[in-house]
Amino acid sequence: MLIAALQGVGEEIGFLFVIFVGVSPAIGAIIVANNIIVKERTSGTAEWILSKPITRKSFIWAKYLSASLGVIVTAVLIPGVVAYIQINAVTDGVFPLARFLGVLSLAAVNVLVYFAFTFLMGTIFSDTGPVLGASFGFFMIFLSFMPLIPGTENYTISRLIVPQGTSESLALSIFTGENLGFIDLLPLLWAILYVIVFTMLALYKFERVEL
Amino acid sequence: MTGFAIQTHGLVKEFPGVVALRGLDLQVPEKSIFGFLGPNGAGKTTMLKMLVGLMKPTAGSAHIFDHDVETESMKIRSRVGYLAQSPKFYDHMSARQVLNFTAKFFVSQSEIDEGNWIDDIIKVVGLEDKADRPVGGFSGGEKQRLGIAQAQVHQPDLLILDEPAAALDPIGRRDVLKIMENLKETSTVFYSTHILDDVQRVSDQVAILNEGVLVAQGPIETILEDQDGPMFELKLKGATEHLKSHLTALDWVSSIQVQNGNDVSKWQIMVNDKEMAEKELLREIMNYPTETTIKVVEFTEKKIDLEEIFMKVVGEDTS
Repeated sequence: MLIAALQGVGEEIGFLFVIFVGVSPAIGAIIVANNIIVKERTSGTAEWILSKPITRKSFIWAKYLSASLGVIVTAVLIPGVVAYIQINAVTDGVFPLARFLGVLSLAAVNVLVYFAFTFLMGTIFSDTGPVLGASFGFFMIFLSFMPLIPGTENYTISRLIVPQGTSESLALSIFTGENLGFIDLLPLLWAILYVIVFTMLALYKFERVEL
Repeated sequence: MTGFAIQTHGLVKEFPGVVALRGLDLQVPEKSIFGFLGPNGAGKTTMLKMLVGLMKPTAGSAHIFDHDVETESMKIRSRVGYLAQSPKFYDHMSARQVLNFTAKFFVSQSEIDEGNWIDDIIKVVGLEDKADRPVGGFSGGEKQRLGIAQAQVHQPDLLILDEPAAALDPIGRRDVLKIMENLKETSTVFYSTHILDDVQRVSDQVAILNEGVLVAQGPIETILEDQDGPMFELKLKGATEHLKSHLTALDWVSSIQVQNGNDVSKWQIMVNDKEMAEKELLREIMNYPTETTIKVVEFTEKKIDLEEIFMKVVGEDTS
């Protein structure tokens, strides 16, 4: 199925692209996010900043937005632009931009899920060890374990990037221009919900952190 | 307006398995330099952190300029400058950038530039040569100076300093104490320390905290006077076996402690009438009938200092 879907755009580039926008940035997001809050807390800079007239929400939003934007730009957007140029270079005609942007948006949401979860862990633990452990555990559950459980394809975020059972990944479906129904978009809705919940929990938890 | 910069009532802070503060009632008058003393682990830093909203009280209340520390922390922090025990900054920033960054929490960039604030404060803390170097390369003392600078960059009404002179060399300490004294005109300075000499030199009020309990509080002079009364220290030679009971019987003598050495005994005599003691004490000793003459080797009025009081109230033996 994967091979068929990529016919006409270059198998190698297409395969690498899906891996690149799906799996690698998620790992990158975990690595970047694991230290953001922990480092501020353990180094004492959070204590310095938060003794000034600034709310904890402002502090955490500033950290969250700047770091997540940085991850999305460097791990999704820039490689995406390069991939788009490469795909067009090896294929006849121009690959539909809307579909390509759709895949990139999906990858951005996927990255945000792992970023938000790791960020939340950073507000709970004061050491990077447990933060990384919990975050990679979360990553493994959704990218390796959940796809093996039949009947869960529409109820987890796994299908955003990786195929699950007989269902193709949402990223590849958009990439190949398949018609998608509401049920196919459920993994995306789950992912957005996860991002919102993890982010709100991080804000809630950090309000109560003692520095 | 109460006239107090800081007021706490029954302030309690508990951590799992530890009670750091046990019902603290503290009053810090405005425009005072208030030394907050206590041994390590007494709860000083916890108290200071609660005042600036970094920790929340378990029970009780605290007010700064009549604002509640829990519900009006933003208002408080806009009027307070805080120095942490080991101040930390972003290592890639220069001292000038740190101060500019800090000042922007309080005023606009144009106001900072117009007022020449940053250069002025850099000069005050003596960091002119290092102003444009990354903070990551600063020594502990330099970071401390920068910490003091950032705490006062917006000319706060109250400075809360956690061990401001701890990491400094003697010259640095002298400079910091001078800065604190100069600030008295415009601000209240509330600082924790264990350097008792500094407290006695610059503070006009002190509080002593031990195991989360306030054991003494007030103007330094009052605390020094509130002790058991004037004390005279003598070193005597000769047969002094019965002298103690003779002196204890005198109305103006409160208590006597004797340490016997090989040849010389050291006497600490607390009195309740200093004038009487000055007039009569030596005479009583010299005229005391013994087999051998008692020789007075040394006679001094012992000045009680803060260190002795500190040791006494925290339950340590000064000897």
